[in-house]
Amino acid sequence: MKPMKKINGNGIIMLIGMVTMIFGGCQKIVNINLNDSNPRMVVEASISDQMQVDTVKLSMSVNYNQSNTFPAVSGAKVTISDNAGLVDTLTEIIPGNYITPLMQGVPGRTYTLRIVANGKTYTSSSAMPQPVPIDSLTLVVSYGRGGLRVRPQVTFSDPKGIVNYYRFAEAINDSMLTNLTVVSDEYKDGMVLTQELSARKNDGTSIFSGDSIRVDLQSIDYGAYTYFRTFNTITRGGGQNASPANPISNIDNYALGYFSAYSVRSKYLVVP
Amino acid sequence: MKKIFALLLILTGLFSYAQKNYTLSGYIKDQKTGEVLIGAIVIIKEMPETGAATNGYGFFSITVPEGEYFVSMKMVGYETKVEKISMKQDIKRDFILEEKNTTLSEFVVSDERTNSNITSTQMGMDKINIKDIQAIPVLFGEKDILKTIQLLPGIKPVGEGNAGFYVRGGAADQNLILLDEAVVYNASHLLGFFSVFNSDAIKDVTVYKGEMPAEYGGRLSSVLDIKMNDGNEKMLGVSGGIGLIDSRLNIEGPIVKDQGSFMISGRRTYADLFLKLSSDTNLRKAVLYFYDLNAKANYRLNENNRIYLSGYFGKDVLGFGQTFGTDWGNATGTLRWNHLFNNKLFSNTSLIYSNYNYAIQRGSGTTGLNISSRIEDYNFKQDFEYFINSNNELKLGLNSIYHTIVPGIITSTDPTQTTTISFPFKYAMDNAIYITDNMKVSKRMSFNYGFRYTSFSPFGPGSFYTYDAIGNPVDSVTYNSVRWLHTYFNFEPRITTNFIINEKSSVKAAYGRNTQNMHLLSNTTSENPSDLWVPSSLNIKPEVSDQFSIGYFRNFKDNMYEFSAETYYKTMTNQIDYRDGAQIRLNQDVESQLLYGTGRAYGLELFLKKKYGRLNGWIGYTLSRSEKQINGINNDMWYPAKQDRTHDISVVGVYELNKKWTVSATWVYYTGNAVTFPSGKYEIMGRVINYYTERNGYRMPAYHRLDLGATMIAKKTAKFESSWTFSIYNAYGRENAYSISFGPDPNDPNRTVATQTSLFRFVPSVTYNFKF
Repeated sequence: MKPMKKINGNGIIMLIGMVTMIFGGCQKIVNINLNDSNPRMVVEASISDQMQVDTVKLSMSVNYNQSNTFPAVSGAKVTISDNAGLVDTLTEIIPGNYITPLMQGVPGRTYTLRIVANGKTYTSSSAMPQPVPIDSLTLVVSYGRGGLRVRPQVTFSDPKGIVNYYRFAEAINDSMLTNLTVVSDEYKDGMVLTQELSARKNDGTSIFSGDSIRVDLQSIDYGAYTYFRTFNTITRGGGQNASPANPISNIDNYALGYFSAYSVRSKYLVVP
Repeated sequence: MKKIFALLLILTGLFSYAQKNYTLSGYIKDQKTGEVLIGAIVIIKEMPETGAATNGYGFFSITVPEGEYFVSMKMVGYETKVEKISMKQDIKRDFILEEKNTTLSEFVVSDERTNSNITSTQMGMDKINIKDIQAIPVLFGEKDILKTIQLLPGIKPVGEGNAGFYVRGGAADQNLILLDEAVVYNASHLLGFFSVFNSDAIKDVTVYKGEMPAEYGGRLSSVLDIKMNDGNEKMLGVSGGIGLIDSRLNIEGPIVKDQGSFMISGRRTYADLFLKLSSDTNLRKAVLYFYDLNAKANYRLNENNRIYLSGYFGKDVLGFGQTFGTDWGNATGTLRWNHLFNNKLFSNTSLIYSNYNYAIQRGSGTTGLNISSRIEDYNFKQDFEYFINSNNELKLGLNSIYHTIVPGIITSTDPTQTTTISFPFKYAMDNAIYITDNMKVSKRMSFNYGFRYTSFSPFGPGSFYTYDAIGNPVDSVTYNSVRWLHTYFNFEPRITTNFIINEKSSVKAAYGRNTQNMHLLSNTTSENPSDLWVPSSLNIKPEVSDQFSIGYFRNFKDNMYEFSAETYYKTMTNQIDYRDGAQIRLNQDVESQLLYGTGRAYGLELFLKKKYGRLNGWIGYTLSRSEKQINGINNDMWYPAKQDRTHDISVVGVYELNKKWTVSATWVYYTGNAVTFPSGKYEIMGRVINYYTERNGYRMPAYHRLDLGATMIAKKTAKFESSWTFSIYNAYGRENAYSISFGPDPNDPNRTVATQTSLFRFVPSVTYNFKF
């Protein structure tokens, strides 16, 4: 059994495309009078079980009609601690970017993020699951629109008897793709799972011979999974979602964003 | 309940007369086809306050004291018939009415104008004659009853080209749509651009906006009761139409002359032929069509027994090469037995089946998946109509439905993969009894009162979870065999009263309670075939509404103009909305994604109709509000429901230029739906994301549109009729917003913009119709 794909309102979106084409419908940019919004803290934070620099990025939201310039939150006091008594205070290296050069996460521990900024305190905790190794990273070749198409595909064995949540991160030529794929092992507990990943780079071009591909299989906890899952449902709905909302954050005090403690295993290949 | 029964008996007894009474009963039929007429009115001229109307099977019964009477029979579109009848004994016979011999018969000045809108007790009701809607222009020229009722006040379209509708602030799933008594769970074709009702096969449409009679139940907002044609029992007839988008064919005829008849009506669209003209190779690979078939047969065993068998089958197919495909459809079947116990007691027994199913295919080969889902009902219904005397008509009956819901079965498209994932089936029994009396108290005052008592019992096998306030499962029970989970009982009193001020005006008031136990979960702005029906459970409680309404009805110029003003106030409990980021599809814990609260809706509906003359039509205006209060949404404050529309106007005009040409126009205007737009944005994971501050805090732009139509009668003889229908949908090309999405500006990556999609501008159509 293949991993489940998300079934969203694609049928409608495709039909609308057809209808607009046949019957002279159109798309145009319109001016909508939108209300101002109170700026909210946006947190992007993670810690992994790897010997790597983990970052916490803090910024503020802006009104919709402003330009895409998001004020960094500087001078915050950011700490990450674990349930074994370890506390690490992060250093701001560029405005809004805080790093933890010291801490390497340990699967099984629970991590707490604490941010004090502009007189407010934000906290979150995330449990780091045990890592799940990738059995294989292969390429699936198909002929599609625009000729040959190469898709990376990972295969891994889901541990039986526990609930697992996964996030896939794909880097092509060391550049991380911005798309987001998360799955749970619901209905598939203990099975061998495969997951196809994106065949396109961030600039929309296809994977080509000589490209290097790295796939990370992140094991994440329920809070982080819920954030990523709702992030996808909300951002993929097009204009069709009747009740769009903010993704469900695992950070308190009305912050937007997430904190994920994850363990990761990777595979690497070069497209022949 | 005993008390109510006793009261009913006393009341019905009180107003019967002690003198010798005789009963006139029978069927009223069309002269040409032998088709029974629904809602034809029988009036005793000497006793103008006494009247009867034929029921859904064309039967009437009227009881009067001994004597000689002039009895008149009327029906819109038919010549009124007056007969002198001597009532010295019970008389049982059928009456024949002749269709008016004019081109567009109902639109001709008539000396026999009815004021049944003033005299009938029912309010919040509209009846649509299929012939009436022929001249009204619609999208693709395909005349559609669901589109036409949306031009009535209080009934509003879900959106552009959408067959779904909202009635008096209720949601789209709160409408009970019946086709020959069978529930139609999804009344749309092509994702809502057409309805499943082929008007060739439809005889009668009645819509109740809240105060439905007690024989109906199961939905909060409205009942749309659609009856199929029985078929011509005199001679074989063929009719049909050829249009740009679809073609239709209808065959009807006698099984045994004057004893039984059949009707078969089919329709098929070929919209996807247009796609083959596309330059886009992907679009050329697309498949997009629907077809449907209505069939009905009836046979009179003897003068007291008649059997009907009717069915509907329809399917939509939508596909894009190998990558995506979906099909969905309804199937219904109804077997009915009409039995006359005597000239006052009419019985109908129905066995009804209804099924709605869909299948989705994503991808193909080893990586593809098939998902299928269905909802299936077996329904038994027994109705009695007891025409006690000229002042009382009693209806009572019972209804029992067995629901099976299959939320999803997932299989691989690879035949070697045999693993199947099946979401647990859901079962429920849905039972009701009802009794209602239509009683004339005096010349001026009448009541229709009664109640419906329902029980709804979801049952096992299955696992049933309950969830806490934040949606985490807290408790579960598992049944491995058939076992009741819970039973919800509801008592639904209904009363309508009419006070006739004079023959030109009346005041009506009504109260009704309705319960709904089947709920549609849909988190998209338009209807989707894969929207999920769920029964009431431990988490989802029955939705209950209480509606109060009062109306003033006035006719002008010898009933040429009908005016009505109706106001309503409705409260609704156990209303459903969705948690932020709710996942509805393929989610075993779907009930954890829901929030529950209350709703309220109120409004004023004004309606002015010109019924007769070369120019006829109507103007409808609705001022309304529909709100919800649900803990967990918008800080627990009241907020506008999606279907909240402040203003809604529709204007319909039909003008008969001459015997050959009839032209028509409709104009609609309504306030945009309440929607959620972002008020801010932020950057995360390298992407710019919309930031939402409240649900339904914004409005879609107002919608307005003009449609024009013309009908030309090409040939009209006794043996052959043909006509051409031309129409332009959205004649001034208004770009109405179908959806508005927010995303990056294609011209400036540093900015974000709102993009509006609009669907139809200037859609012309031409259809050729024939009949022989």
